[in-house]
Amino acid sequence: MKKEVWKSSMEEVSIEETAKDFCEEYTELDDINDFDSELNYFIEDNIKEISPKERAALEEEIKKLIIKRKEEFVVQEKARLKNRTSILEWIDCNIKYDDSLEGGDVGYSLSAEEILDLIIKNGRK
Amino acid sequence: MNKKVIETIEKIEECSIEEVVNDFLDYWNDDELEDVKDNLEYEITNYFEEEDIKYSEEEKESFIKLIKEKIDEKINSIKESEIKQLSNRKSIHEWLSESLDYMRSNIDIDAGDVGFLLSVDEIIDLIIENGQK
Repeated sequence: MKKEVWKSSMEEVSIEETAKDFCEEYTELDDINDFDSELNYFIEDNIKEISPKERAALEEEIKKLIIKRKEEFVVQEKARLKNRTSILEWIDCNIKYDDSLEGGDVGYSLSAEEILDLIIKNGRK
Repeated sequence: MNKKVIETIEKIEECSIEEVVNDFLDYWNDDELEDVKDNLEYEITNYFEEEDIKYSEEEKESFIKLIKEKIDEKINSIKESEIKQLSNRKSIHEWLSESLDYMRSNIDIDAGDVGFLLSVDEIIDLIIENGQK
């Protein structure tokens, strides 16, 4: 696979390296089924020559990286709800975010603690 | 001041204190009630002065007492309706979904932020599991 580094010169790059480059560029990518067109743009912009076999291998490698990255994100998200303090912080910063609530919306008159206790009490019913 | 309140004030001698209280409360939005309650003496004194309402101390006290009761009733009814909205898993799920949709469209959620990848059910389960720790 040949990557266009400068207009005038090209270098051989590995599938792994290119997959890593792609994932670094598309940091918001969280849907494994939705990167096909993004990959086409990436190839157009960055890769001079790629065979169908190489493209398939690149796709495979990217999928592996995305799955790995998703697993890391899930761990991070779970860590943010690891105890009462962090859950209250999350409710305060996100659900009770100033502009997000109107009179009558849950959270408008209830405190984060009250919301949390209601979820604990009623979330299994 | 809305027309109804002004009309009521003009006819204050013919109105009961309770009627004036209701009109006074109509003037405020639900989201202003806590603030009104915190500054009740000030708001009522202003209200009487601005509208040139003659009142006895006894009437003012009754006015304040009734308004406090009414505000508490209104706030409690708002709270009750909010609590009802979180009365079971289905309603919690619905509420959290709406909140997350709002977050996703109005607040930047980055990778690693809660709501980026976790499902609503996973979030509820985590809150139940860890909320008491």
